[in-house]
Amino acid sequence: MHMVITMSKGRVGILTSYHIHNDGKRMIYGGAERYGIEFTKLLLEMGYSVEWWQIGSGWEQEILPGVPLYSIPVGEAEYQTCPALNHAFHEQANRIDYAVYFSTLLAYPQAFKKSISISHGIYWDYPTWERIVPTERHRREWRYRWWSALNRPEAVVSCDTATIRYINATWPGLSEKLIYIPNFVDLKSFYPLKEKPPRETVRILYPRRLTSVRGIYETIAAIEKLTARFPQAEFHIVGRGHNDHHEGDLLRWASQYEQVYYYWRPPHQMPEVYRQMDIAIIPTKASEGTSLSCLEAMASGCAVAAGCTGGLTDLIIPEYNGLLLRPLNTRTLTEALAPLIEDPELRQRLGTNARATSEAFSLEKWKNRWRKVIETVFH
Amino acid sequence: MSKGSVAIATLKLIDPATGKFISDYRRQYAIELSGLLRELDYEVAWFQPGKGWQSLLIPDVPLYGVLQDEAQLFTWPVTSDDFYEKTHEFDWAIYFDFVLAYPQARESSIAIAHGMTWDEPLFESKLPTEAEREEWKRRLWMALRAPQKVVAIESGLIHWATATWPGLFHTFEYIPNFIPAWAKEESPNTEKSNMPESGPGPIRILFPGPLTPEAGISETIRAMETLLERDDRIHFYWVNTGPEATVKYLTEWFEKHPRSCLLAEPVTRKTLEQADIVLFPGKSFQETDMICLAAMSFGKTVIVGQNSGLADIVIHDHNGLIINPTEKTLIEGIQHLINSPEERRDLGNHARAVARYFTLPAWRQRWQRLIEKTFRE
Repeated sequence: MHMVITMSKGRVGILTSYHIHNDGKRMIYGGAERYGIEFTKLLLEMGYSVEWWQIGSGWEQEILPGVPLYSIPVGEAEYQTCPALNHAFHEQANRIDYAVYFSTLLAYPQAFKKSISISHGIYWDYPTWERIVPTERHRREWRYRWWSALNRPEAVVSCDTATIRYINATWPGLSEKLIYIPNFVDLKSFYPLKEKPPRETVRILYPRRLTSVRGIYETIAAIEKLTARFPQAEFHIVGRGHNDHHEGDLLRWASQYEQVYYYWRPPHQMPEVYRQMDIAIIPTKASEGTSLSCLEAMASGCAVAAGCTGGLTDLIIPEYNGLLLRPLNTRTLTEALAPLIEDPELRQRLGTNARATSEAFSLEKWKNRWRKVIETVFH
Repeated sequence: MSKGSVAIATLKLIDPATGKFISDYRRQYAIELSGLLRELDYEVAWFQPGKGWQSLLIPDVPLYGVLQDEAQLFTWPVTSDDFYEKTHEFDWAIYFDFVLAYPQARESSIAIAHGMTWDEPLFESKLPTEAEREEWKRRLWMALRAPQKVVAIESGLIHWATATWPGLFHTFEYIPNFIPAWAKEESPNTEKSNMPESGPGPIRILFPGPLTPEAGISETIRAMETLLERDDRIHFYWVNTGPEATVKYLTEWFEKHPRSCLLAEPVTRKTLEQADIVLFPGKSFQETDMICLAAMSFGKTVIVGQNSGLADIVIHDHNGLIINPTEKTLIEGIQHLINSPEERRDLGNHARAVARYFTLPAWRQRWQRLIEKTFRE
């Protein structure tokens, strides 16, 4: 019997804080986790072996068949950095040839020579950030650690230009390292209906988690104003809350309105949800990269109204393929939605251009852009 | 019936020695803003640093060169204070350069942020110590806090400011720029372009400046050396003005290189029309977005730098290419576009479609909404 030995190009260790919850049991279905899976598949396609490392009690799992996820029993540290995790990774992941830091701060205080870090967008642009780093001393330390982390890997991939602009304006001189690779959408799963069945209702989707930073409260207030004015409007809030209590509250609120629905769906059912919609709102106030939800809505041919924040400005060119709302509040959201509900031609135009734009963010293009970076750094 | 009077504070708009505008971008913006305010029935007057001269920006809109000129850490507190004191009879104010809103701004006022001018490595040598930079930043924060609204012409400043001071979220209005009037009518001060007519055959690549390091001249020169050697279909044209020494150096360089031409003159409609690919490889903020919009409106394929506000109007692989400008990425991008004429055509078509939403009427409508909301009794 002959054994077939596939030559690996080398072993890549990916350090993240959490891909699954630190108890090792509950999956997280966020955008970053989906990014992680596609990124792993790409590395495997390219002939690399992959292993993941995260915070946990020492358990071992598989992220994909043959791709181990090891956990390291350390706690989170201050300033959103995890120097103990970083150190343990460097000590324990000793079989790896290359490293990927799944968020930029994880490359503090040290990084492998041939390594890449990834920025998923600015997350410190919301007022609650001041609670996390409450004094100038804290902010200074955070900035130092982040600057230090940005300096160490060979390349820093940013999912949006907002982060690149921030870094350049804060520490001019780092620009050579910064590579823009926007997020992706799987166009095979997310596409518009060939022909929309005739119906009198206009369906509006909020496809995000029920959090204040994602604009849930502005959405609720806007819906309360719009339901009476537009009986043809049908609102679908599709996303999880922080807890059952939160979801229960929203369910009770939605049940007061015939035109409002609240539910959530697992990721594989979301393409069908998007396809049935006419308008999608992404009313993010902060902490946003090139949002997967926004890209999926665009690929599904929805007319999108989004907050003018973070990576959303990389996806939407105002009035060409969507609307960018600034400031984002109940008034601007209501004012943006009213013409979209009333004007089918406007919806059609924005939706068609959104779909055309989404093709620039296809999964294939994302892989090609990443391939070039990986081949340059991991040589 | 006038709706009231608006005083506009600006840093240098016109050079009194020559009577010329400091930049074409500022000229376009100032004239269009003044025109809009007049149409909306406001009386308008501009104030800039100067020793007591007076001029007309457009009919009925005076420009007074009367403010004291004293800079401190890239802020102008004395000029700002002088403006505040000299414009008491006006109802409202606009700070054409938002830093002039430091240390105080009129109660009902709007400031305009034309972009981040501090995102280049040399900025650290202009404010060489951490203490100076911290003080400068504090003043910037005050300038952004003081007016009722700050109009950002590009999202980069909004991202940077809200990530630096998260409470500034509601301060900004995003009003992107417009296709300049000269893109529709030939610039009055320029004759026909010296570039050859566009057509099949050679690939004409235009670098519409400005001729400064920040605009990526060094990277572009290095890329040209390789590309001119590699592909004899390529012709390079540089059009714009720059510092005298740079123009002299570049003139000598261009004389040594065939199929390359430097025209030290302002960019015109004709220049853009004759290009196949237009390069904007800026490494930091540049006042080039109006030229880029003009190029897009002619259906030209553009390559832009990721560090500029141009990333707001270009989606990579949809209506242009976004690069981190280096010799290598410029060569790759240009070569790719030359080898894929269909893709180049599609990018250009999308660019033209995008440009339709950056017309002057669209810009005026956005500004009008803001003015009517802010300048109320």
